[in-house]
Amino acid sequence: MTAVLRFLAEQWRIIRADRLGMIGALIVGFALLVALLAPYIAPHDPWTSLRAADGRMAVLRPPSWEYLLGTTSLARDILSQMIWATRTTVAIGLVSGLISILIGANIGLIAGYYGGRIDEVLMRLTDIVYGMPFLPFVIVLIALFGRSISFVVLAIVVIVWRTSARVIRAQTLSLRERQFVTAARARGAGDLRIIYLHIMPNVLPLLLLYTAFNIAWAIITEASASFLGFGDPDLVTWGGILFDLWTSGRIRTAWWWFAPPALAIVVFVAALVFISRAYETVANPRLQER
Amino acid sequence: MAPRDGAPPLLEVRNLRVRYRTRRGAVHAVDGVSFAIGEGEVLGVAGESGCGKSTLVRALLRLLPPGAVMAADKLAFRGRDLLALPDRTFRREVLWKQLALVPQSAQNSLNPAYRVGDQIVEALQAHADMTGAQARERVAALFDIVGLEPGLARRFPHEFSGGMRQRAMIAMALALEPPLVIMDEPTTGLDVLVQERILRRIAEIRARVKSSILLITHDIAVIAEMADRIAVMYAGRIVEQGSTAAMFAAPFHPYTLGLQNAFPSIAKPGKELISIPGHPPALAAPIGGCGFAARCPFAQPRCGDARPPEVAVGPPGGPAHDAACVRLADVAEIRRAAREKSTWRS
Repeated sequence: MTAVLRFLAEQWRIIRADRLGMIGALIVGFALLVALLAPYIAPHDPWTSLRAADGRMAVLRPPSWEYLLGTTSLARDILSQMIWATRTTVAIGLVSGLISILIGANIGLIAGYYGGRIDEVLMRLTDIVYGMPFLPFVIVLIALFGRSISFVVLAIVVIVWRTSARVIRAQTLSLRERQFVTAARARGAGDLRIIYLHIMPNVLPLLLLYTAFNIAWAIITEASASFLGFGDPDLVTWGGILFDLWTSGRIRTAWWWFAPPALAIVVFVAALVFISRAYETVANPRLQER
Repeated sequence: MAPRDGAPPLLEVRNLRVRYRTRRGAVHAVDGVSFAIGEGEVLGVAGESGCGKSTLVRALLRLLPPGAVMAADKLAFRGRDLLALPDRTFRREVLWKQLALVPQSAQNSLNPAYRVGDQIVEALQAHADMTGAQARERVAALFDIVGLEPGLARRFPHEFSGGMRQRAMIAMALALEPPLVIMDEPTTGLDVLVQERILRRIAEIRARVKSSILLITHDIAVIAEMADRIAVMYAGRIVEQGSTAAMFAAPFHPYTLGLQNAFPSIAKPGKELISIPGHPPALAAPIGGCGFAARCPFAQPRCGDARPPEVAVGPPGGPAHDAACVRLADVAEIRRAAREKSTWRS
């Protein structure tokens, strides 16, 4: 428990040392808060078509005190949609980002540590995944299995782990030659203990950097898939809101409908990149000199 | 070849061979090495770089790289046959508990990601049934033995000086009071003052801990100071071994004589240092005769014929002293000639 707290305190120290990292952390923290509190703070149901006071449907209303971010062509409240979309998008991003770093880190560590044939097989697998174009892959997957959240996550995970695997493998390759690994082996440490207790802590800054990257990529990827109509129709996401806007044909007029999801994607992904930048100064200390 | 008369050896090695497979054929890095270490004894292994000392250490600890093949007629630790032990058992029961290593360039052997104390605690908990508090207590005791402030256990390796890291590695090797500690070049890369302090510290530790030490170094001075017995290695073989006193007073092998010439002596200040011309052979092919013949100023045609056997040369009833040279009969003449610088010109 204290070890976990110490670890978190250390992460906080790293992020706080970088001003942009700090801004990023605040933005992500805010998004997480919105995601957690979505049911309590959303003023309307995101799917209900609303009626104005005069009894008419509140279709395509620009922002006003009643509808802070305006309404859609189906008279849905955009603020409520944004709040619920934050919840789903952040969840999809976290889940698929974390699963992909888990896969990427393990493949990188194992390939780099064992080398030889194991490395060869795992890295050729990575090359194959590098050759897979994302959108055709999603289209085929969704066409085969239907539009569901689990397949969106699956598609993201399958594509996103590859870079982290390569980078962590490269780092592991150099770490396994270090003296302290031999020393640990001379102390009787087995392969798994060396990989996870001796090598992994040394790639941790890189690991966290790529965790942030992977979450950012997952969110961009989810937004692209949803915008093209391959998202889960039962969930509202930032990309999904843009998809609704596109299909309504109002994309050139309803700016209040367009701006919130677009800005949310850009700002949130930028926030993650800012955080990863803070870790980059740890992984690559020369950046600190600037 | 027994270390001390009557005492059963702690580690007995007979005809140990290590071959590295390379693209240009096999390299015989260790080519039939036999020695024994008694309980509480310090055996120094001396020799130039590239004569197989580090490979010998790796072979004993099973740390050889994948391309290496090891074989031996006997490898026994307190009578237990190490050759028959499966890797897993060897790792769990022998390494560190019985046979600990202070690695070469120990200054770089601490994991930069952990506090120094935590690394020792991690290893202690992996090997011994200890609570965190017990392990930390042990670390404090170990730090005391090697002369480090117990508070330093909470520091990271980069906050340590080279000598402190060296001492931390020695502390780590002593953690479970192993019967045998292998020190691979324990003072290399440290400045002379720190070297001296480490050596004094090791001597003090010997008084408190009853471990035997296998001391690997190219520094004759270190061995002279620490070792009870010396084995001189050349081209993957032991060319001479005997008690420290005998080896310094009356060496038999030309290579030992050459090594002595190459080091300054406090007893004879102003002595001219003479180096042995040439380099150790590449060992790509097994050497038929004496490995040193190519550089030896006393070589004769018959030196290349067959590998000279290790012959007991010590006084009868005295401590064992063996040398592997075909010209042992001419030793008086060779010793005299070896003192002349002109002898060693190639």
